[in-house]
Amino acid sequence: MSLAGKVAIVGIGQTAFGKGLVPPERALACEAIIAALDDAGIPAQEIDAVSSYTMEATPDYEIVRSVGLGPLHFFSQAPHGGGAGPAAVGHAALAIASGVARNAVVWRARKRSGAGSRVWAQTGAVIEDVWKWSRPSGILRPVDEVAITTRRYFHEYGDGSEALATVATTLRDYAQANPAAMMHGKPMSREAYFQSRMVADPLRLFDNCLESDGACALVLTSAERARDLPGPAVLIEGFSQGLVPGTQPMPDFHRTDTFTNSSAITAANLWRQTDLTPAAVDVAQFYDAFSPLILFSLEAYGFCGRGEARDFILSQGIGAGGALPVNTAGGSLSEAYLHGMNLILEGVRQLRGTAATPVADARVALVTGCDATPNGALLLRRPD
Amino acid sequence: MIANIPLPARDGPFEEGFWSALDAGTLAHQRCRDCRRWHFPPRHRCSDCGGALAYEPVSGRGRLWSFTVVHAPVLPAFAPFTPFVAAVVELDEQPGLRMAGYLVHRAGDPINAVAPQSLTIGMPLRAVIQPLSEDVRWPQWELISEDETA
Ligand SMILES: [Zn+2]
Repeated sequence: MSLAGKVAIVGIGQTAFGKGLVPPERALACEAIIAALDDAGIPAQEIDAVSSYTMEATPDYEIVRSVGLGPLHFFSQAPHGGGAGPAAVGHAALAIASGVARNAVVWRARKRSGAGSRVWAQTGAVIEDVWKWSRPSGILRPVDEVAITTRRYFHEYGDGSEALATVATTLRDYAQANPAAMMHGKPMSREAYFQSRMVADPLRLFDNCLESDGACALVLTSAERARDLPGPAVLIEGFSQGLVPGTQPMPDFHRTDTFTNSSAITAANLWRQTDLTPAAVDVAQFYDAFSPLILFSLEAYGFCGRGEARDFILSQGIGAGGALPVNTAGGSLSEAYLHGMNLILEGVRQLRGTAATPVADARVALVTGCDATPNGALLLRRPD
Repeated sequence: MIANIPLPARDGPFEEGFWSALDAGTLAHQRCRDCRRWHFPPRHRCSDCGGALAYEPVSGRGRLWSFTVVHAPVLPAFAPFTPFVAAVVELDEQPGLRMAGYLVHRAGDPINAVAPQSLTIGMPLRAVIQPLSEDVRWPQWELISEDETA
């Protein structure tokens, strides 16, 4: 049994991305879903599966009622914040491949541009969950957790500050070609990167994702039906989730080998499902709430060896024309932070040939979830 | 102590021995009766071999595994102290047996007492149990010299 080639992404839709958008989250979700349905050419009433994140604030029944979807046979939510994106798509794909459902909508809507909306800022007086072990000691925010891991990585493999600068400036460059990107029209020099303030040393302001409002949606159906639809289809070649034993999302300091994490579990099971290898990947969309996650993901998914991501980024390149173009719409650092869902849409655009910075003859795209949490990944390919 | 600091709930599963050791001014972690592996955070049974776990005192010696320097904006309780060092310590008992905690020169120092310029990954540290609140204690990690590690 294999998922490969059975399910297609046939529609994508998104709202504007920005700060202080007026419509409520649910209205943004509806706008993105309707755009994705129009793109797919599938009537709303034929959608019988929906999938999103456990952190999604717009309930499935409200979406169904508001857009006119259904009746539904499958509804799912994937856990672990930024780790959830590929899984939200993967769960819907499994429902279609197994015949439980026929057509699915996957969505993510967020209004995160207000400072008080940040998840860490909601910390209560008593901490019941995993953060009880770290937050009272001053490891307060996700950026602090990733900064601690990053400093250890630099200690073991050498200083990676130049590679982080290249990640941030490369993604900013991509955003200059993408009119939908929040950082479109705001280029950033290497000097400006290094002059930005420290947030959690060694991570600076521009190592952090944007705080964004907006929504993204996708429509999935069987590969068989996709052939009869007007638009270009993108096939799901492989999908896996990964959760490494001992992981603590996100202060993941408690395993002996911190850098063989849930991404390695996802990657091994993803590559097991396909004859394709990392060398076949034309473009990658790595979850990038923080710039070092791109280094860690390059290694975990097999594009270079452990500790080699700095050299890969600096000498082989992740920009347009580089060995592996990465986060080609600007990613979470420079397009928008839609919890990784915008990365999946960009993977689809690359394989359709409609990306703002198209990778020539892109046939295979990898999209990953957050390296610092239990996560997942999708391997996408063109049908021809 | 930091006023209005978010506190860890003490009533989680498998934790009673951890908190009661701290109440007594000592640091203890779960250890497998069969394979002798140490474990933290607390769990139901040994995740390596399935053996039964019991709390045993640890030496309180460790080394700096990594750290960051936390700059604003932060939770209101911590705002008066920025920038400060937030650290993870690896205990001498076992690679991977790690805890978070403030770094201090002397027991009772505030969270921002230690300058990041004075830190090196791998430097030796010693646990000193200090109150986070009236009801909860946690180890601070005192910088010591290599001579004191014997
Ligand atoms: Zn054991």
